[in-house]
Order: sequence, then structure tokens, then C-alpha cells
Amino acid sequence: MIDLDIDIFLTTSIMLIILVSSHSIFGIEVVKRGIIFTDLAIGQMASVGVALSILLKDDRNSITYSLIFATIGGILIYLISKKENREVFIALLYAIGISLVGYILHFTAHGNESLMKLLAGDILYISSGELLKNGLIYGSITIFWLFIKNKITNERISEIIFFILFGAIVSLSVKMVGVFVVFAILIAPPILAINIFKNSKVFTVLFISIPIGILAVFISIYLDISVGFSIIGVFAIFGLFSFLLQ
Amino acid sequence: MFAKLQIVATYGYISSIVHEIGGDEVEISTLASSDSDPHFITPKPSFIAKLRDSDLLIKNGAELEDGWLLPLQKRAGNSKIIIGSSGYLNLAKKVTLIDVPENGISRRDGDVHAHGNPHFHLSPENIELISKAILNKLIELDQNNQKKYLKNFEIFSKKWSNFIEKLKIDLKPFKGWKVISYHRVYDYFLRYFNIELVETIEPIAGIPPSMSDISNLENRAKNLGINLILTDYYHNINSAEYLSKKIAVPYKVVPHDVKIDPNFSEDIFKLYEKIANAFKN
Repeated sequence: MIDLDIDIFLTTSIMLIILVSSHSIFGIEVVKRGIIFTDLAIGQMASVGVALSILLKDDRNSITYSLIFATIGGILIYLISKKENREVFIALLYAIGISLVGYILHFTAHGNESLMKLLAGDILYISSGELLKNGLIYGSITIFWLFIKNKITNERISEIIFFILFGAIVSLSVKMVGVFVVFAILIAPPILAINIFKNSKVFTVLFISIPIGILAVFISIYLDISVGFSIIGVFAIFGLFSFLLQ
Repeated sequence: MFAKLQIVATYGYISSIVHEIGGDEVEISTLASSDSDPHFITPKPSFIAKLRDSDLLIKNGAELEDGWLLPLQKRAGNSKIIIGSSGYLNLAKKVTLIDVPENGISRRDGDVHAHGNPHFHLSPENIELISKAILNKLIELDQNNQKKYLKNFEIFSKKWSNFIEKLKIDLKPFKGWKVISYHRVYDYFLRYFNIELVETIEPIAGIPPSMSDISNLENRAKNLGINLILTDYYHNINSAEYLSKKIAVPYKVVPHDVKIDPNFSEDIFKLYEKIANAFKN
């Protein structure tokens, strides 16, 4: 166990606040559409892209590979989003994603470790320079979505834009923090807001999720454990308990 | 009164040697746990604090830390320990590596390292070179304690050569034995004691064997007169266990690194002993 290190605590917390804010806003839309596992499926598709970049040793373009697969996933989900049993489709897409990742990584050195990293990565690695860059990118995508979402009257166009932006956010994050961290910070915040405050307004979601994110960072530094798993665990536990207050 | 030299070592074996030479004059932190795959270490928040506050970082090098150390170094932002500064010691530069690929490497080679096999701390001769490099670095950074470091080094050096002489005698009966190991992690040790590494269970370094890889290996190994199968703590033992049954050769799970505790109750001597015991018992 270590004393709480303010510098590490602050940088990691700010990064998590950026991630949680942008993701949970998209999470609200996902919950609203009733396609909860969409982000797991799209996240998994994005990680197929990362796996491919590992196999091809083309790390610099991994974001492009991720975007391609995430967009394919997003469009497929959009196409079936009004059909019956759509959750089954989404779950199967997730399964295809995970089997593709496993298959691709089998041919790479330390594939199992990379697989683990794609499930729960570590925001500890992020330096303050990257922090600023990521803040700008996530901030602009999220603000762009908030700005246009009520401006476009054509439902189909609005949906396509949503899935593309959502795919972009998930592609950026999956390599950095892993599929399950993305899932936790997307889904738990809107559910917490709905269960506790009976609404899913952006302010409410951020009000509840930011302190939880900071708590997760605190726990991980205090106990000296991986930040990724701490985020998943803390958000999931709060999410579960919020159902008692429904 | 000067503050003690703060040293971060990536692996336990480095800490063990630093402890032998630095004694009570230095403060050592170890990053990797001895049970983990040395190629892949999950970062903990404390790693960054340790790196930030250290005067000296000693790493194995030869690409072993490539997957995890550099981003942590960057994140720690400590100019004392960046590559090329006086507080940075890359041990691979001080030894000669085996298995250096002749024609460069491609992705087909899996985890083969361009600089050669990075598990060089299992060669007794390299331990001498490593301890000498550590001695020089400690003197460079902390001249006030030069005498103590030199004295500790001489004691260690003597103890080490006596220990290896004894180990040579102990392992003499096993000269010419044929061994299969999971990964090429014990290769330096085996070569030094004239034991032959015939095959590895992983078809290519870092890539787990498929069922057909194992059955091909089984067919090849049947006629080779294998004496022992060695596997490490961090790979799944299923394949070694399976092969052991199929070709009726015992398998042993052997450590690859020194398990560090605050009292240094385990050390580099214990590590070598444990590997040697795989043959003796």
C-alpha cells in the first residue's frame, strides 16, 4: 500500500473525468434506444481493428483499423435497430468480435496478454501531453453531438451520425482503456442517473458519474491495483446498488 | 548526512545483485513480480511514484521491458532516469547475448528479439558482468560510499564464483542431458552447464502451441531421448503436463526470477539453486 500520490491521482482523475463525461453522454443515447450491449459489440469490433494492427505490426494506423470495424458494427446495428430480437443480433456481433480478436491474436507474440489489455487496459500510461490531446478530441466529438442532435430533423440521418460518432469515441478508447472499461463508463452513469434521480439529463449523469470515477481512481492508487479493473468494479457495483433505489 | 541512493530495478534478480553490492547504503524498489511474465507487466500506480522519485533505474534491456516500461518512464517525468542519462543503466549493453538473429527478424518470428535472447541473467558469467556494471554505476553516482561498494562487490564476487564451482560439480552428472522447455528462458543456464535445449513447447517465442504443434513435438521428441521438460511460472503448464505424460518424461516448474521480499530472504543464489534442483530431485 502506498500513500496517496497527489500528482498521479490528479492526472489519472482528470483523464477519467474526460473519458467518463464523453462516454456517459453517448451512454444516455444507448440506454434511450434500449440497445445496451451495442457498446460492447462496437467496442469489441473496434478491438478487432486493434488486434489486426498488432498482427500487422502497424501500430500507428490502429485507430484507422478500429474505426473501420467500429463503423461497420455501428451501421449493422443501425440497420437492425428497429427489428425484433435485436439484442440477440448485438450479442452475436459481440461474440463474432471476440472470436475474431482471439483468432487474430493467436498468431501474434503474447496474444493472450494483448487480449487482456483489450478487455481492461490502463489509463495509467497516459501522459499529460496525451491528456490535453485526448481532452480536445473527446470534447469536440461530444460537443458536436450535443450541438447537432436536436438540429437534425431527419431521424435516419441523425441515427447514422450518432452511430458514426459513437464508433469514433469507442475506437479511440478501446485501445487505451479496453472494452470493459468503455462499457462500464458508458452504461453505469445513465443507469445510475435514471435509478437515483429519475432522469437522464446530461447534468445529472455527470453529477453522479464524475465522483464515482474519482473514487475508482482513489481506490486503485490507495490499494495499488490496476486502474482499469478498479474502474470496471466501482462503476459496476454502484450501478448494481442503484437498482435498490429504483 | 546524504539521503540514500534511490534505485528502481525492473526485475527481482537485479534488486538481489544491487542489494549484495549496495547493502544498506541504497534503497531498492522492484517493479515486476517474479511470478509474472517478464515481457508483460501490468502497471500499478506505485510504479510511477517509484520511477519519479528514483536516482537510478536499472533495467534488463534487450527488449524485455519494451512492452511496458517506456510509457511509465515518460509518465513519471524524472529526467534523472531517462535513456542516456547517468541514472539509467541498461544491463543488456554489458553482456553478450545469444541467439541474435542473423538476417534480421520479421513478424513471422513472433517474439524473437532483434538483440538476442534477453534472459541473460541465467548465465553465471553474466552475473559477474552485471554485478561489475552495477558496482561501477553505484560508485559513479555515490562516490562517498565507494569503499563499501567495492568491499561488498569483492565479497559477492568471491561467494558467487565459489557457489558456481560447487554448482558445476552438482550438475556434472547431468552433462549432455536433453531438455525441452516451454520458452527459451533457461537457455543461458543450460548452455553454461552443458545441457542441451532440444526443443521448445511454444512453436515460436511468445506464441502458444496449437494442438497440432504439440502432437508434432510429441512425435519428434519420442526418439530424441529427452531427459526433462522445464516450464516456467507464468505460462500455462497444461502443455508441459500433457507432453510429459505422452513421452513419459518428468516435467518441472522452475522460477525464472528472484522473488523479492523486504528482507531479501531469496536471492540470486536461491534462484540458481532452484533451477539446479529441477535436475537433482
